Amino acid sequence: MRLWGRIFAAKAREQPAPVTTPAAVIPHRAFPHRPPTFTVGMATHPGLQRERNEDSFAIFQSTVPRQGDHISLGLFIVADGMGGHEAGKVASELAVREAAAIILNKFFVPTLGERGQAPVNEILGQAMTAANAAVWSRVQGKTMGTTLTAALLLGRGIYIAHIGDSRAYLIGKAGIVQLTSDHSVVERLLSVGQLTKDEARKHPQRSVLYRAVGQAEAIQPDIYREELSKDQRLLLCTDGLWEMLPDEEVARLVNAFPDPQEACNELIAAANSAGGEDNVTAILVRLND
Amino acid sequence: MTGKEEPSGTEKLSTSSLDELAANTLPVGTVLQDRYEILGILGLGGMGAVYRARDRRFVSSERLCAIKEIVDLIPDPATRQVNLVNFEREANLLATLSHPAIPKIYDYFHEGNRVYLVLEFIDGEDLEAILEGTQSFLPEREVVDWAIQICDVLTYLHHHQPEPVIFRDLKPSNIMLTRAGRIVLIDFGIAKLFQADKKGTMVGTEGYSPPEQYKGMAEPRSDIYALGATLHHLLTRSDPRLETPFTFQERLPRAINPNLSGEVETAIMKALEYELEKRPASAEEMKRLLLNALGTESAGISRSALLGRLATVTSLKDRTTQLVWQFNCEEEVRSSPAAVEGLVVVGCYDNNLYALDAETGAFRWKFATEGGIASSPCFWRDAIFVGSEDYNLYAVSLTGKLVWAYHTNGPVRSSPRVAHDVVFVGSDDQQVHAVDARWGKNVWRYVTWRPVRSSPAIYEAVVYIGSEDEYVYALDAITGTAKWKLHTMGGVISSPAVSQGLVFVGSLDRNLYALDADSGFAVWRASAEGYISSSPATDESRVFVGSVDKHLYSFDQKTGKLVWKFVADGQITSSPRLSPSALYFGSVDGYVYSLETKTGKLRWRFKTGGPVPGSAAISRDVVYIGSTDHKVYALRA
Repeated sequence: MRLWGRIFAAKAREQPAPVTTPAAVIPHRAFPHRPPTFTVGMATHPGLQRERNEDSFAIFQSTVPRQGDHISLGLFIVADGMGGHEAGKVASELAVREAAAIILNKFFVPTLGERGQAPVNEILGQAMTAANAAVWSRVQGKTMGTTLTAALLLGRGIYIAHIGDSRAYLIGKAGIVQLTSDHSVVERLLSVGQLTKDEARKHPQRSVLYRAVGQAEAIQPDIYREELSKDQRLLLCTDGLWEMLPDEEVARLVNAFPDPQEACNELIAAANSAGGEDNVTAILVRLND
Repeated sequence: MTGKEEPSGTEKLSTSSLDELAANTLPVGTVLQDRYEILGILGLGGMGAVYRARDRRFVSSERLCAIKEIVDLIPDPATRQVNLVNFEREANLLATLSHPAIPKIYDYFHEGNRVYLVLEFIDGEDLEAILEGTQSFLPEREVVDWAIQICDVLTYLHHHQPEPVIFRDLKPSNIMLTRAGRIVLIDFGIAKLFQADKKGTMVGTEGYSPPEQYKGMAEPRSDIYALGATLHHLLTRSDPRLETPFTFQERLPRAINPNLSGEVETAIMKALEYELEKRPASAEEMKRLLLNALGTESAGISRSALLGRLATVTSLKDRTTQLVWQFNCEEEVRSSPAAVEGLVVVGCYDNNLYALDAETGAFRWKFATEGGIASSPCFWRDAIFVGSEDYNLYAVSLTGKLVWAYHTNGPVRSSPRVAHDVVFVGSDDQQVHAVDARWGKNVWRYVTWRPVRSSPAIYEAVVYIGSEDEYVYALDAITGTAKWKLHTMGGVISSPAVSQGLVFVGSLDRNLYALDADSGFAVWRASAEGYISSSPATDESRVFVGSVDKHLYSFDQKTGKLVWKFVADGQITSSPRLSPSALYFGSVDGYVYSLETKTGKLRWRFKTGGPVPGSAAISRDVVYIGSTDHKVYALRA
């Protein structure tokens, strides 16, 4: 090895000789090695009072190679369309497709090659901008728009891009934390202490958004990073879930059903039992050991 | 679906109802009541058009008037009836008002299925149009003059008997400026009453309305708030309908338009208080505040006030701190001291590692190496580790005796860090070295392509370090194998900092990077105007770093958004160090700076005799830092 090192050094002047690592300090990894995985549950329903389901979603599950190892990669998107006739569905589907295409093309595909990629926040920003441009170009005086909440899972990191009032939550035994904040006037009033939680829940304008996809030429999405631990679940949902069920009830159901798919089914059933006033979509993610 | 008040997807955005209205406007030449001839459209409102019309009874003169129509699109007959009653009541109330800033009502009638209101024609432009017609900030004096006129008319309305009249919808587009420079309020909340039951406008914010209006409450101080919001918009050009609602408090007028006077800002922000009790109690009080603001700007006192203000600025810049002690070395001090148990150790370009008494600065001992010391020492149990340009990493006892020396193939300018009983350090020999802290024996080496002058950060058994080969490396602390590496577009001299699963590091490509500690993917990058060789420091939510563009930056860790920046008089290669409430760094301008961590405001600065490229050590309320004037300073934190 020493000899090889010298030959190597002679060939590549720039590089000093690599040195053998003393075996004593290398602990053996537990083989066989399995890359980390995650399990996803998903359910959507028109609810009990609407004919159409104007929610849209996307799920992508993979791993990405990283210096000989793999880390998990997941992309989860929910969107809640607004507008009469088919316009809401058109908007939410268009936004989800555009955003997913950009994120996969600009982030996922480069991980398969040698090329690097732009920072995650820039790619998420581009995805939201593209989704907005696609919807905006179709609006043309029509009643059309959508919320859009995307979560990119990379190892333990969750990268959120969000506009509107669909939500992302972290749920664990310790409770439920809302990661996103709704872009509604009522939510702002709540956060500056001018409405109580109760007043906000019942406020007639609680569904009036000040930001949505397809409502202006430019958008200002919220983009930030959170972390998911093994004992937590990531939930993405549209307002058909959170308007029907208090956060505590959502947390109780998620904790009661360890299988994400079963938990999603239960969430939809509970939202419908509580009235099912709106379309409801839920995506639930659990990291595996 | 959002907008769930409606049973099925029949919501309408304002744009579509506007289209419907536009299709229903009266053609030019239409004559209403055999008297009012429509000449054109002045505007489209929420419930109908406003026309410019001529009163044909005045045959020989062209008497103009404004005619407002209400096209009732609400399908529900009961709601329509309520709206009509409200409208009529409001029109009757308006008929009792008489003020130069309120348009007169001439007539009111039904024709077809529409209701019409004939008003005084105001020859002028509304303030929104005026704002849109200019590129630069509107003159403060002029805007304040309009505001004072608005206060006068609000005073009139709020003192109306038997009940005060609340305008409810004050905003630039509802305020006209006549050609004579007179202010007139238009759109007297009539349309608003009609709109109260309008549903399905799912996107949009009123922007100018106070919080209490969202609880269905309106009182005189609600108009004061809306006036504050209007002034904020007029003077900053930042449209509250496009900004996040209720963020005026985070967007202070002078931060956007620095030419504004402090008094005007104070008056606006007082009007914009969320709590009613904190706002000016009345329109009269608001007027007084504005008059005072004008007074200080124009009257004779302004000079002394201005001087006073300048004086405060200067005195702030001159605020310094107490020198506890200083110590003279024989050469420049470019590295950073370390402090522990009453001892301050610091490396110097005179080849020595000095140990000084932390309290008095008295010389304790020095340890001589064969080269200049650019590396900053670190403590581990009863040893001190430091690198030297003589190619060695040294372990020195607390009494200054050599414990061991570890030889690399290049100058050691990186600063050692210890974890798991292993010292990690970079060398100009292009390698990262892991050395047994007790015996000085090599554990592993990792080869990069350029000198490693960045210092390692160790977190959860991973060593994060940069190299001049433009990469940031994450190395397994135990095996020395790469977990990941990330390419930046410039050399990485800056040392990484790890917080909340993110690795922060600066690059000579002028960016500060936030990398996912697990995967190495770039999470965000924030760019400066110059190289970032300074090493970032973090608290629980923010990251701080200096740049040779003379700025010290503070960014939000999660989003990468700029929180504040501070400009020094010289380049910043020093790395910020944090105490619970303040941060400290040196600059090439010769000063040691202390800023408030939260706001970036200057606490003090201390002048040394030369550029300060090194960073500080903080211990027990004392800041230790070296300077190229050959001195080590102990300053009161």
